Amino acid sequence: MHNRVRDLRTAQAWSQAELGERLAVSRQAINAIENGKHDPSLSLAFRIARLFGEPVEAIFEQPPA
Amino acid sequence: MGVQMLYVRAEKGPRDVSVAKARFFSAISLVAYPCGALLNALGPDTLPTKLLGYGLILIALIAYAPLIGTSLQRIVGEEVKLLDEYELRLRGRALGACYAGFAMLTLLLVLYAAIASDKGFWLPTTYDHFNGVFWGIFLYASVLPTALLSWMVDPTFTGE
Repeated sequence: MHNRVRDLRTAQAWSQAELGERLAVSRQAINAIENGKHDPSLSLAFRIARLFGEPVEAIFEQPPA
Repeated sequence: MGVQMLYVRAEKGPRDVSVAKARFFSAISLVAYPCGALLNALGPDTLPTKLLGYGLILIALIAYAPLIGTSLQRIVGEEVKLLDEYELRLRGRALGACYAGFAMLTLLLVLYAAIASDKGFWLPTTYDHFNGVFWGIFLYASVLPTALLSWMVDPTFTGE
């Protein structure tokens, strides 16, 4: 799943570890989400959206089949 | 109740060892131990052979040391409630692969034992032999999940 997490994080000048701390997940989880290796659960996706003040669909995008 | 592996929780949090190093050290540990143990059991009863056998076993233990307390080992060894969703997914994959590996190893060993007892090949018989087998299984149970996990994650796992 394509996402804008890296762009949003770097815009805030946060490291992966800092973002992970704010979301209560590991730095590795943020790294995997940014690199498209892990699709976050609904709960985590909503937490990410709330943290950046954007709707979920503006951050995560399902690529066309 | 979750599966609990051998894991030493560091006070300052898990150490980050690079994925390449984790792959290298775990491979050394997994290969050196059986080589050393088999050399001791099957090799000629001479001092150089014994030294080489025990040397390989020592190398296997030394190679295990850099993996202790790392973020990779944490994923397969930490309490389930202390892991996040990504870590839990990795843990499930690593332990699943580990189960398959151990099951296959067990089947192969039983098959070998059946053939060996028929054909008169070597089988562990003494306390020393079984001691080597016991600690080998213990080492594999400790190293294999971390080793398999190190091949499942990206090299970027330990860096941004």
